[in-house]
Amino acid sequence: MGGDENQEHTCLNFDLRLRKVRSMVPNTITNALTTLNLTAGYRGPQQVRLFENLNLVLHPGELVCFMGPNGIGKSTLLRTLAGLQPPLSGEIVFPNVPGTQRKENYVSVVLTDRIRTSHLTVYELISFGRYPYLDWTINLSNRDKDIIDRSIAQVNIERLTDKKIDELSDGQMQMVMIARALSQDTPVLLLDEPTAHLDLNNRVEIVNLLRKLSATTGKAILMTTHELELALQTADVVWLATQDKIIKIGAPEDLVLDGSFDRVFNFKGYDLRTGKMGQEAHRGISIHLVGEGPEYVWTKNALERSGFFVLNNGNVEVVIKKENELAWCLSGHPDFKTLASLIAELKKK
Amino acid sequence: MNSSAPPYKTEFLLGGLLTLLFLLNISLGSVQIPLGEIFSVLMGRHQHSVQADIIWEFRLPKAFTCILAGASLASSGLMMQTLFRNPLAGPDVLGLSSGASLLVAMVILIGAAGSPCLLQISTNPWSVALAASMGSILVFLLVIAVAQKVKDNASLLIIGLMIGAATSSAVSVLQFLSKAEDLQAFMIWTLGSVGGTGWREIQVLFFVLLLGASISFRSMKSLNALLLGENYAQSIGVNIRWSRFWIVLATSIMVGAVTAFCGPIAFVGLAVPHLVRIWIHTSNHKILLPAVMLAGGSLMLLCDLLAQLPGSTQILPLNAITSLMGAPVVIWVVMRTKSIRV
Repeated sequence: MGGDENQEHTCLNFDLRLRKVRSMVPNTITNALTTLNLTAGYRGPQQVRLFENLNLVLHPGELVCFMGPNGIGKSTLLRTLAGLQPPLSGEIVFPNVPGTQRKENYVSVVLTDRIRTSHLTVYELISFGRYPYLDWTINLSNRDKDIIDRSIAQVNIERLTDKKIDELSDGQMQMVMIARALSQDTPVLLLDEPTAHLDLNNRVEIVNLLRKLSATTGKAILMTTHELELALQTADVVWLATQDKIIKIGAPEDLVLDGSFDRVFNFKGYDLRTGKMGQEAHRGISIHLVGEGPEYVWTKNALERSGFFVLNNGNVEVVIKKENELAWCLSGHPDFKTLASLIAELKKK
Repeated sequence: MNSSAPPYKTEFLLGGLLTLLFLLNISLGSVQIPLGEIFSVLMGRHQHSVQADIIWEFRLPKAFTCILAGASLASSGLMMQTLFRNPLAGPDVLGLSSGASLLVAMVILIGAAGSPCLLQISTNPWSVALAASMGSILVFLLVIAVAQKVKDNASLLIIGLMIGAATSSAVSVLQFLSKAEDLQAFMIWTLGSVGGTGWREIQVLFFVLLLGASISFRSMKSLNALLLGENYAQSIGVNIRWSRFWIVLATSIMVGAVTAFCGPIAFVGLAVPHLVRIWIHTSNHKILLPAVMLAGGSLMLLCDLLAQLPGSTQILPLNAITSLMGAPVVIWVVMRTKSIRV
């Protein structure tokens, strides 16, 4: 009896607080997650305040990439948003979904913590995502099983379900952890460095998956990442933590064009706006390149890397031929079959 | 899904093994009692024969003690390995048994030395069990406090060993200061024995196991969640503080009670969970917990059987047998799997 009363009591408080919030921030109810003057950091003898007075918002169906220099506190803020460590001040507000008052019903996480258990099957691990809804007997209902199967299907790992988790590759393990988070069935999904330690293929696969999930499931997905290029191409919104502990928020392209990325990362020899390493044209020869498509792009790349200007009115003409097989034509020479041989010849001039 | 059908088979097999060893344990010893005789005595016939006396007064209490002690120690070992996420954790390794020993030594040795109040305590099985549990809890809390500071597995084990060493030295000091006849009783106790328990002690052991096991089964969900580490466990709604409290409580009372009546029994808590995992390949506590309890009871029955040296009048110290059985098992596990995991 007492338990029920308590429950009602917290519900009431929750509503009151929400009403207060509603009057302050108009969109709190439609946001998947809102922070009000949130300060994140560490407690202890020396309190460390990493980010102060944050008013952040996660919208349903949006993929947010959280970027910034190493050690700025991205993981700490993510853990704070997930309710794994208490905020120093301020609060995190979730919309009032009926029947859900606890953080584990709102937020699921994929962390960098390694799972060291060996004798667990993939299916068992994913079923742990249902624990917030189960009592101590941990019997899965049919509904739980449906949600687990759906999560497995969303991540396309049906072939892995009977494997032991220590038989998985790093990339597969990450997919399994995402499926586990999905089976928790929460409006918000937070991922800490989900692409770290993975090869390019797996990184692209994971980011594409998250992109697809945010669009199809309407979840708000936030990931911390160092993958600049993937983030620029897939994120709806970028949170960019700057050295002075402010979080800049915007579409990735906006943050590129206004130079925010350059200021935060201090790129050395890399021009983000053109997406190229700064190559110095030191050979004094300018080349007029004729061709199209990816062959043009890669030839230009190779020439610039070797120190040649590629200009519209260059003094040496190189023509890309794509008849039977790819070849490069330089006047006064037989056709070159490879870029390496072409560049070797050009360097003699 | 694939976690419902085969596990019951496992528990069925383990139950069969336990029953078999139980009967063998009663039947074999310095005097052999044929199975038929055992059944007729258990059915209530021949109540005044020598065999009936041996069975009711000696063999049966001993066999029950083995089962209760084995189940308690093995499930404690399993829970400690999960809680610390350390495959080498166990009640004896992390010093819980030593903590219990210390308090029991204080009660037995100091109590015998004169204080009538403590003498009263030392003869009541409930209070001895309580004292031993207090000892285990104190050591467990100390180990947990240290584990908060050092996250590293190896350091934790070293600290557990040091705590064990320190409490053992305290026990040695007590021994040095006590009378020869009390000392002998205490020395026999430290060798481990399941022969010294009467029905009163078994009652206590049974009650403690019942309580400890209920808490363990109620903690299945948090134990499973803890396999993923504390962060993930918290993220799926497990209250770390409370689940740790329940695990510490269940483990300490079980280890405490067993240590109080049987002495610090080595290796059962550490080895049995690994033996069971080798066999049924799961980390799921819903399957593991009952299996580990049955296997713990079976292993203790087997060790006791060997300690009795059937056919001879000699009895070996129980701890010698459990260590002889347990140590090679752990070495073999480490060698075979190259790594040893929870």
